[in-house]
Amino acid sequence: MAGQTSFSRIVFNIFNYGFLALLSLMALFPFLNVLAVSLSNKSAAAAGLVKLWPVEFTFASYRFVFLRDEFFTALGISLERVLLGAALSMLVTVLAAYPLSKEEKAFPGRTLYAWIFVFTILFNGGLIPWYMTIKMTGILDSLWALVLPGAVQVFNCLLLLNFFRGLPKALEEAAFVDGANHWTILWRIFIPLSTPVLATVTLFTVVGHWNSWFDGIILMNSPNHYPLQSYLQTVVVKMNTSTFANIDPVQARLLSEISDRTVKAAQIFMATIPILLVYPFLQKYFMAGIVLGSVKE
Amino acid sequence: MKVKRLQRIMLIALMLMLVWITACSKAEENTQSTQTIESSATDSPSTQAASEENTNPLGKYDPPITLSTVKIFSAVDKFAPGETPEKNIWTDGYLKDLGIDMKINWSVVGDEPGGAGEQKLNIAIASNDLPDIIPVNAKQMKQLVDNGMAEDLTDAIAKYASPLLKKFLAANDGLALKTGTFNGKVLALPVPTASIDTAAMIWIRKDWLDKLQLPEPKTMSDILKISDAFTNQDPDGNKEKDSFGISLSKDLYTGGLHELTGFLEGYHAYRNLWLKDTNGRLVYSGIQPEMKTALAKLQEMFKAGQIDPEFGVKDNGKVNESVISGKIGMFYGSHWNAFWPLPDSFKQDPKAVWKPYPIVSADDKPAIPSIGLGVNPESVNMGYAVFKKGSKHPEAMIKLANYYADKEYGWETGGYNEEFHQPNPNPDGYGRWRFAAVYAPDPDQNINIYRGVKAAVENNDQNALKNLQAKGNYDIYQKFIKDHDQGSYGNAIWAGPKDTALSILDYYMNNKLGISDMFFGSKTDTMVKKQSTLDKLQLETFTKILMGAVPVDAFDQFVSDWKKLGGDKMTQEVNDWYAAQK
Repeated sequence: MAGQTSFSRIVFNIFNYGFLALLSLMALFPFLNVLAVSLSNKSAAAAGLVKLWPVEFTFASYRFVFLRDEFFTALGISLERVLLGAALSMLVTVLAAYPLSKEEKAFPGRTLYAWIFVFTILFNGGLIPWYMTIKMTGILDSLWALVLPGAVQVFNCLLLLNFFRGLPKALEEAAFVDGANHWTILWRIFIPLSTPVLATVTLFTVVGHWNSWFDGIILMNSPNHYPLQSYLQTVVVKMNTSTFANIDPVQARLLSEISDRTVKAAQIFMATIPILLVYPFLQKYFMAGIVLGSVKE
Repeated sequence: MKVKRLQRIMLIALMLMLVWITACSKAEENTQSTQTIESSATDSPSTQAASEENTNPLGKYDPPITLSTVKIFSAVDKFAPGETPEKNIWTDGYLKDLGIDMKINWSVVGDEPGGAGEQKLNIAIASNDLPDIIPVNAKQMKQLVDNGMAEDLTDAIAKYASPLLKKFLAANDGLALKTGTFNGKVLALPVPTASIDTAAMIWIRKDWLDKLQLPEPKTMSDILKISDAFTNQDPDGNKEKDSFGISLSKDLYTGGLHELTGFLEGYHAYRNLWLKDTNGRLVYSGIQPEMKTALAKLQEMFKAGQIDPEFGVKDNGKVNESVISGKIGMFYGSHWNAFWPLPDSFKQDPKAVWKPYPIVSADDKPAIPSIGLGVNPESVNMGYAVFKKGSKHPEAMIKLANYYADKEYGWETGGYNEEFHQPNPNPDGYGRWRFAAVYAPDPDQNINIYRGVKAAVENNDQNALKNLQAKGNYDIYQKFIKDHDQGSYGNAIWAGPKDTALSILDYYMNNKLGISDMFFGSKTDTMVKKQSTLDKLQLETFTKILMGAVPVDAFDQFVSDWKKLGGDKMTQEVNDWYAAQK
């Protein structure tokens, strides 16, 4: 601790904080730019004049987005998906992690089961079998298709499993002596003691559900059923102009609307807000959860 | 006790969930299977009826038949509220006029190559989950043909195609149909497109030319002079050296905007065509010595600061920023640039005068633009339509194409109905034609629009406005002349009578300028395996040469690498194909 005030320490701190500040600014700038574009005049944005401050301030883009149903339909589906998906995922993950955290004596074949789970991290069937399985299950084009296939998050399961193993064994033994069974132990001892790791895993799941877009496009049969990120993907998609040569004149007139960056920016910004709101509240658990879960005793 | 109860609740909840899930899937399966039973039941009697009945191109099925397809839309498409892919004027018309009940298995937004539509369709093909009418690009067409999943359409086209459709398919020597023909059988119906529409042109700020007292470009040396002047003589007048001579995006020679195709063609170099050499053999144009000359010139221009040094990381949209903000006054592009990005430039600076020019040559031989085959092989939505092998009524797909041609272009037959194209009036720019299950656009559509507008403006020829698309553009042009409004600007510099995008295409056509790929077969085995690698090698090498990262002589190394890495084999295969065509 003596080195705390030494010269080299101060220099180190200056550079360290300077470096970290720069790093966070780098992460912040894209956000600010998107925000500035969303609040700018259309042609100024198209000409690339907007940097970090809006040019010719206007709320027109936000008004445009608010007047369109598509954005809010998609937002609703995304919220439904996150709530249902996170609840379901947490339930099955906890239920899988608890028995696997027991020792081989208490749960014969435990290692084998654990490896079966781990196997699915390393290998998967590929896109087509994945699609066909979901199709044959008959849940294609429904919310279940987005929620059920990824319900068991094996990585989260391992985090949880490791955390459970780190809890003092004496607690469990004492509970058994008092006549508790496994359900009681899980719900009344393990779960309450594991809030940090549970919060972390919940956050992972929520963010995962919120951000995924590819499954929405593949598994949904109509753009009206897309969750928010899939919808945004269709809106923000990069222009590939190689098929434009034979464009229809009516369609061609719409081309100038594609360059409408301000509306895109407004939608992107609105889509990030919910997650931005969740993060700060879960962050304290987030760090504790990861550290605790990763250290075995 | 409490614990027991909790446990029980949990178990019940779990059980309920399982029941629910299985019930859901059961229900869906049931409806599906009844559907197929129903549709096959309705199918069988009408098959017999159809085979006995006449071959009316727009004959109605009675009782109605059921067909399925999928729809791939573009991010540009906008539809009126209440009009969905499943229910719209087209599906209603199909049922009412043709007796075809069109089911849409799925729809998706994203028709760009490699986009959501292509991916979803690839999965559908791989998992054999195909509708009756399958819209595909050339790659997927070959896949379906190779796996015997495409129905033979030769008879159906011969018997059922309407005169209008036959005319569309015969355009450009019927090359489009040939690309969908395998061993003498037509296995895919191409969506006919204008081959001339892909021709390159030069867009230049005429006001800058006048300001700097430069001549209009007649030769490549004029272009080089203009590029130099636009870089060094401060065309935008802000006393800073912040403009570039010519635009370029990271795609270098594809995309139809901010690219080099037209520039290379000024040196008689073509990026990717199979052309005949002096010995009558087909050779790959991308490795010919003309290319080296053109690349050397580009390297000089880059070194002289005439090209944005950041072009390697900029896509078209990003380069547009420089055009709109008045930092770039010349670019090679296509006719549709009139709609993107030029209206934005006009909006930002109404004094910007954009004028298109035909591509120019470096020597006394004329510069000839490369043109398409009359079909768009990369488009998954507007490429080809394949009828699934084994499904009933392949002729129904031809009827649907007839129906499209009739509704969109049938001013002679009286079938034309603008309501099928778009709502009227249409202030929000909604489209309807994209709902059609099969497209059959007129390949001469755009040039006819131009010629109609020109005849009406210059000779007051009211007869020319019988083509209602020409009339629409004529009206917008007149409005622009009167109001100079931004909304009409795009159409005005696209289809207006003089110095417009389509006037350049008209010039090419009248002078018979245009060269197309002499290889129009499906991809050979080596192409399937190696072409993407070779294309990447070509793009990387050219970009490096252009940026001066390697000397121009690296081109020779590229040529020998290209040959070694599969190019020689490809050349052999292409020539074998060519010999078989004769």
